[in-house]
Amino acid sequence: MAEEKSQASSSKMLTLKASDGVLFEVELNIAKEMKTVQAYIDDCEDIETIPIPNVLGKHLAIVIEYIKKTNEEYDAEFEKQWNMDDLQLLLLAANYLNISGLQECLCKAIAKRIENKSPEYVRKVFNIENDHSPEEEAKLRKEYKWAFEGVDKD
Amino acid sequence: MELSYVNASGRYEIESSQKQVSNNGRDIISDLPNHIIGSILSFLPTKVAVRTCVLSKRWKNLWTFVRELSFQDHFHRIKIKKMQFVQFVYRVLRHLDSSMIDSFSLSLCYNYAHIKEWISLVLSRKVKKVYLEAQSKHQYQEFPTKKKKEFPTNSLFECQYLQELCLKNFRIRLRPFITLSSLTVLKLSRMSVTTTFGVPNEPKDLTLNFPVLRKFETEGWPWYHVKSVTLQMPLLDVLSMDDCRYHGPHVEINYCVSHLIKFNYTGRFLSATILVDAVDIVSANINIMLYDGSSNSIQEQMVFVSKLLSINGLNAASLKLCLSREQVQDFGKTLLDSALMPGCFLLTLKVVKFERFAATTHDLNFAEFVLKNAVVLEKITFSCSPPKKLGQKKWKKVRDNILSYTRRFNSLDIKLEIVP
Repeated sequence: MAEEKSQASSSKMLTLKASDGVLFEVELNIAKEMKTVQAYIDDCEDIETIPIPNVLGKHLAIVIEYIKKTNEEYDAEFEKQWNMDDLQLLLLAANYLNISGLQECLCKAIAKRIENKSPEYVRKVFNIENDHSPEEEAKLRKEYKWAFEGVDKD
Repeated sequence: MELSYVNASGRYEIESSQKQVSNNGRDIISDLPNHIIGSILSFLPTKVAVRTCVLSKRWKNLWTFVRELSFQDHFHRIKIKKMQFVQFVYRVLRHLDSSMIDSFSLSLCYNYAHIKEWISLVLSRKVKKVYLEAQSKHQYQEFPTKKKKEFPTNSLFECQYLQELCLKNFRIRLRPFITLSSLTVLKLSRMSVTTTFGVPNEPKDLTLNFPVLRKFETEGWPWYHVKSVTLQMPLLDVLSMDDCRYHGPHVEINYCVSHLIKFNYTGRFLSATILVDAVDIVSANINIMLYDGSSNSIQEQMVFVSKLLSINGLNAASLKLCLSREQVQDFGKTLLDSALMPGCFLLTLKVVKFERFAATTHDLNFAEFVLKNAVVLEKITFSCSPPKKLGQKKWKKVRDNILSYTRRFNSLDIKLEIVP
């Protein structure tokens, strides 16, 4: 009996609703890779449509695709398609949905793109406003002097 | 049209579909939770991660959430720079917020004495993987033992939660009995390992007990001034010995590896006995360079080869022998013919490749011998390496010669490839 039940549940479909109203029908076992969704299902067993208020349809589509296709080869090529903005929003999504494999893949991709870039470049790419006073910044640069040598020209 | 959503910090955001600036000029990344930013920075060399402290006030301490540490020093002429590296490592280790560090990787050029304190600081954070290297100016040259730096602490070999350990280019003295109960990967690269205790000139037995080790790799010959080494590694999958050369007093290395699946040996003839107690090795690669200049006789070298091939549980092995031109015939014949060879080599030999075939008398004699005697031979390949290419006519003659051996001596379907 237990076997029949699990067979039935693996082909059961679930609907995920993105923040902009886009609907996605996914198999239960795909949805379960999102630990946040899994927790939702555990709480309310008969739910059919799960709202995902933090994630745009565009990004949810990418996340679902990732879960379906993930393997070493796919992961290596995956990050190359997205610009820095999308990578960050995807990471936000992966963090909210609690998908550890995707989180790691995205963290690695973002890191790769800022490796050996100057702080000025990194601020620009992430839109970080520098609210250090010049003295504070100088103090930090002196404290960790060895770290500030040999930076790429942008 | 306006779209609204809640970001990771719980702030309610409104996004106007008209603005097209990168993410509308929002700084998304700084709003991520600390541990996620720590994860991103963990993929960077620690030097780069620490640099983010100047990005903004929010970022001042975000680097302290990294869980992977890697430090790589460079050769400097200026003395002050050498100390700056040391200061940097101490600062980082003391400021880390993470109570647990997953990995610590250090590549040093100077100041080896500080390793002891640094190891102590990372072990206190339950580090699982440690990679330590003493850089040498000449990358591909192995230092003689006396020139290698002494590893200043034994605490790594007493840490029972350590999972991966890679050491390169050090001398280290260990107690005669070592157990590491969580270690799954061990790599000793250009190391010189010896035992403590006992009279300085008397070599001792060394026993290494790694109950859950899966992979053991050595580069160069690590055992220095030991009588014997016994390695208890009952769950080991992969054993890889690379670039083995040793001509000291005879030593015996005993691998108790009943679970071994893959075995690799690359190196020369050794004045050592290697015993591998396995049960069912699925794949094995044995690459041996034998050379005439050695003071050991062909017989001794053949005994060494035969012992490697007699390893318990060795099912199928790929054996590669590098022989000098003159050696081919004698070695070759001794190898195939001798009673020393296990399981009657000639009855099991399936594939033979001659590389750098120059069609000398030696080569041809050996080829003939193989074709005549290897009963289950399936494929034999001869390939030449330039510039020793023979002229067209000569090649044709050689080819005919070889083909004539096959016609005369066997009836089985052999694939013969001659690649000039």
